Amino acid sequence: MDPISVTQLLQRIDDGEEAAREQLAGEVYGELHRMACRYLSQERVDHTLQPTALVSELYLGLFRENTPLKLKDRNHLLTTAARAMRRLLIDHARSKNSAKRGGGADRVDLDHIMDFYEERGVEMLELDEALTRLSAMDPNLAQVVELRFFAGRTNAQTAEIMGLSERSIERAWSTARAWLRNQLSADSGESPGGSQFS
Amino acid sequence: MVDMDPHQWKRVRELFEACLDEPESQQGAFLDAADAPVGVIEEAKSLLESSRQNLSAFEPPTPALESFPNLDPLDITRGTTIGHYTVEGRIGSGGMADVFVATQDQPSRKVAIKVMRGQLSERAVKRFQFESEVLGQLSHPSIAQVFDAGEAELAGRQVPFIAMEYVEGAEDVIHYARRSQLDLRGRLEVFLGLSDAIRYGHENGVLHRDIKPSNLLISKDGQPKVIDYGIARAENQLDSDRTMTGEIFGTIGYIAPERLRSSQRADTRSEVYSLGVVLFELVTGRPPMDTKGLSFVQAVDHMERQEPPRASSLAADVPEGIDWVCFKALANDRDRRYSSVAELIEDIRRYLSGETVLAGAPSTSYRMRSWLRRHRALASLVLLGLVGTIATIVGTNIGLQRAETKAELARTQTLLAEKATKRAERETARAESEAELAKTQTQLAEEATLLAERETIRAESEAKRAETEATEAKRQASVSATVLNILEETLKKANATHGGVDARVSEVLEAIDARVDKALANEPEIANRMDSLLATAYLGSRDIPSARRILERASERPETGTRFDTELKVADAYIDQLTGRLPEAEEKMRGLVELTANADTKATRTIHLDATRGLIAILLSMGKAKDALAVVQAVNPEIRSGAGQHARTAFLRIGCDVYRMNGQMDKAMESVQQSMELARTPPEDSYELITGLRSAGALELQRGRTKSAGTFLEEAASKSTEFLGVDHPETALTGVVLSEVYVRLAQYDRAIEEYDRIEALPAFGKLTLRNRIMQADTRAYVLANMHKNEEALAAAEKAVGLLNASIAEGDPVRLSCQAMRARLLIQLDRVEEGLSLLEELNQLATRLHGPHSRTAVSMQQELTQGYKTLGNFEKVIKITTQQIADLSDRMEPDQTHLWNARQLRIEALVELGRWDEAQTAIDELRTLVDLEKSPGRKLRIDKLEAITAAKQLPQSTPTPGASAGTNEDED
Repeated sequence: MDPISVTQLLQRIDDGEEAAREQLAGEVYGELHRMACRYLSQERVDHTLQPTALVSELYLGLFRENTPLKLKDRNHLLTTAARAMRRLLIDHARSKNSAKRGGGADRVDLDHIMDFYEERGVEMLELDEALTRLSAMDPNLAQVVELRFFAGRTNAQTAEIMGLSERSIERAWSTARAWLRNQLSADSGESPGGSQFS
Repeated sequence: MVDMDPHQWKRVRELFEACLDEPESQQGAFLDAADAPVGVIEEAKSLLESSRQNLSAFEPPTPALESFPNLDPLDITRGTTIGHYTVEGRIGSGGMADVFVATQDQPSRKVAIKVMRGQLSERAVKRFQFESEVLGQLSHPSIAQVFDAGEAELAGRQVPFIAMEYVEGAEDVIHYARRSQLDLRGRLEVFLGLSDAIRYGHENGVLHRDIKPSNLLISKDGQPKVIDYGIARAENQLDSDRTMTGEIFGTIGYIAPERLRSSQRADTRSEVYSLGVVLFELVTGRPPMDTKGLSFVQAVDHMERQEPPRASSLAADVPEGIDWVCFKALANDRDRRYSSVAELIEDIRRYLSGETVLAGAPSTSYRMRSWLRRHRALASLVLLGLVGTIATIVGTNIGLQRAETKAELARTQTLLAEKATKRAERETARAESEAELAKTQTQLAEEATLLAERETIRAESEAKRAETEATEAKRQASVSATVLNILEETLKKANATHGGVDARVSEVLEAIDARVDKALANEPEIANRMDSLLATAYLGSRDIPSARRILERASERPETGTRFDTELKVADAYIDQLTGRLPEAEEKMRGLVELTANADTKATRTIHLDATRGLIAILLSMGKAKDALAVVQAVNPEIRSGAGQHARTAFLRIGCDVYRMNGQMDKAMESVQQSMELARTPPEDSYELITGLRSAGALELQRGRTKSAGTFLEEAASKSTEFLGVDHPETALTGVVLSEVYVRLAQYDRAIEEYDRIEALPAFGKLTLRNRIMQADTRAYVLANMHKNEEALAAAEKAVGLLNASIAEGDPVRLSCQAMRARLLIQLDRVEEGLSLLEELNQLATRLHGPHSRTAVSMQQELTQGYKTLGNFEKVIKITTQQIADLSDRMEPDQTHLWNARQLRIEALVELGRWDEAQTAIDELRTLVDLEKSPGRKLRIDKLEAITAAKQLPQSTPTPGASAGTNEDED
């Protein structure tokens, strides 16, 4: 994925071409996946890789050439990346569930990235399912979750990307977490005070 | 849970978010008082309740970059000031930083200053500064010092920088050596200087983390300087701004394989590897692995598969000693490397002072290795045993104990330090979750983590040193150890006879064997241990007489009350099995299984599991598959899981055979797959892997999955040839099974070719009798299929000729080869002879296995066909009538066996003109078998009836042999 083709894709999206939107999503997803594998196999830091760092890395990888990029396009790209990150993690969780055995280095590496969330007791597939239901009810709120949780954007950054005030993102984020918390504890059959998220 | 519609949810969300603006104590009341439908209020209250619980699980990982870094190239030119430094010029640029030479006023000096691109979070800056502080404390003449690190304001923003000692006229070590045309000694000395700096760092708890020539410099006055010490790590704190393409390809060759492979923590051994690469490059002029032009994944793969080449193969002037040093430093398995840089240095010094390097004393290790490579499975048994024995002998040495106590102490320290690290890490994690409120706390905890980590490295380093001392003590003690002498003498002898590299296993074994008894006369325990190893090794190569001799001499020693006594007894029972005294073997082995049933240590559990496996093998070779299954199921799972890896692997493998013979194919496959998985777990258990692959292959063959069988067996054959050699019984056996694949694929020529090859091997004679009989039997089958009946008969007679009392009367193998002979006799017009043999076999099979058994049924089929050929229809009727009576209560009427019997009977009745009976039988068949479902059969019945009708007419002459068609093949 090179900056030029991305810029072109963004341009085509601007022109209202829906296919370009999907193509961009595919490219971003592929790039994240490749980056995750590559990054993790040569990782020099003795810590778990932050998935969100990948999103930053992706962004920087594309724009280190100092390509002038319209604010709108940049925001679109980050939204896409957040969505792709979510999908990457879900796909991985799913393949992990279905194929207990086998799998290549690829899988192990991605396990590493999952650790980040799993350490916190977040069950990826459950979360994904809840988020899907949330977006049916309130797509904006789901997007806040993607940007905050999967892309690691701050409230301020999320506000900028979504074109809302920081305060409203802050509140939306509170609502989203409370709702998720509600959903996930109900689904897992644990009492709200359960240890799952503590 | 049912979700709300978007409209209703919007109201809930608005209400909930409105209440967030209220003081916390009044939020509940606010909701209660709200003007909204009850459902909405309830939902909002439930959100409120949830929002007051700990939501840290959903906190995103703290982003290191608080804002998007500006990646504009830094506007730094001559004269720009960064902190206290004035830039003079650019030295270089990396993916994430630019390096400049700059001057400092107070004190007045030149520095190299590295300026990061991109901004750091506050936290990252703190951490970075802490790191460089520690680095600043390193003081070694060959480490370029870190003077200062921090942030400087540049064009209105903060840029992080590190100021380091500037190495004047620096050149990397490889170029330096080349340009100065250093000789080997000169190169080694330069290398030692650099390595010493790394060693110093380790002893102070700092890893370099990025050892490569461009960081190993020589100043213009010849002073070695290591730069960027530990900076790799500090740099990584900068998080994102670092190139991932390009750069890695430049340095991948220097990173230890385990770090690429599995992100293992860097440690002293991974640094030994990196230094090894540099050493290799220094002495040969090129790096050991050529990864140029490979993708990252290919490069990793390449490194993983390939042992590095011998340095001397690339540069003829590399002496053997250094060859070995490189080899050891570059071992793929980090446990086989020098455990510390200090050891690496020590060994090179040893070379320089004319002593023999420890990495591989040429007179023993080199020979040993090539010997090992050839006979890995067997040799590892013997050698592991030897090493263990040496350890036992010297275990009492007081110096060793002292050293070990020290090592133990250091290990404990390591452990404690590690615990502290973990604790601190937990602390960090906890603190991070309250990041906003507790930044200071985080920082403290992080510092604690770093300190604890450093403590770990230091303690590990100390542990290594203590261990080195322990090893040294062991080495000294072992010089006097008898066993080592035996080994040395043996190998010398082997070398003398065979130019060193090609000693045969048997010769080496014999040489050890000859010395054990005398040399260890006063050490019965060790002698027993050696002898149990020797006996096992002899058995492994099917040298029964030698194994027996060993056991005899061991039996003259007093019992030592150790597990080696038991091991010797296991070997004894195994001899009985191999020599066909199966009932004796069974009894002995059962006794041993019971004797060890309460095993509570790993060693005794291993023996128990081995004995159990032995018993199972014996039962299987007696054809008692059900008993074997019972034994498998009776094994105590605790003992099983607590046994050694080899024993568990072998047990799972034999479990496959047991399940297979009991018809539980899926379980069999599961068992053998677990076994192979264990066997592949490094260090690979090649021997078990080979047998496992073979079992899996045999299983797939039995399941009719020829292709998959071929895959397993081909791997087995190539592994076996590689590890055991072409002329080893296991290799021969694998070949035999593999040729079965060719038979299934009807590649008869190829199968015969393979048989000829295998049977010509001396190893073939060492296969069990059963295997050899089966081999001859299959050969007969193949030849018969090739219509070479005479040759086939010869093969079948060979198989029959091999039968002796060890193959039981009703053994399927016995029946099979005799039936084959009978069949061929009939084919070759010796019909009477063949039929009488078949009669005999039929009676035997019926008596031993019952009339429904597969063998009995197939004998009867052969018989009826034979009598039919002879025109003896009375006999045909007799047999088929009996068969129908026997089988009808067990089989559905439309099963092929039964159908064939009935059809044959009808044909015979017709031939004899017993029309009424034939008609009755036909009618019966019509009612019994649903012919509508099977048009072919219906056709045959119609035809039979037509023939019956036609023959009843007085004018018609019966046409002999006219039948409704051939029988169906067996399913």
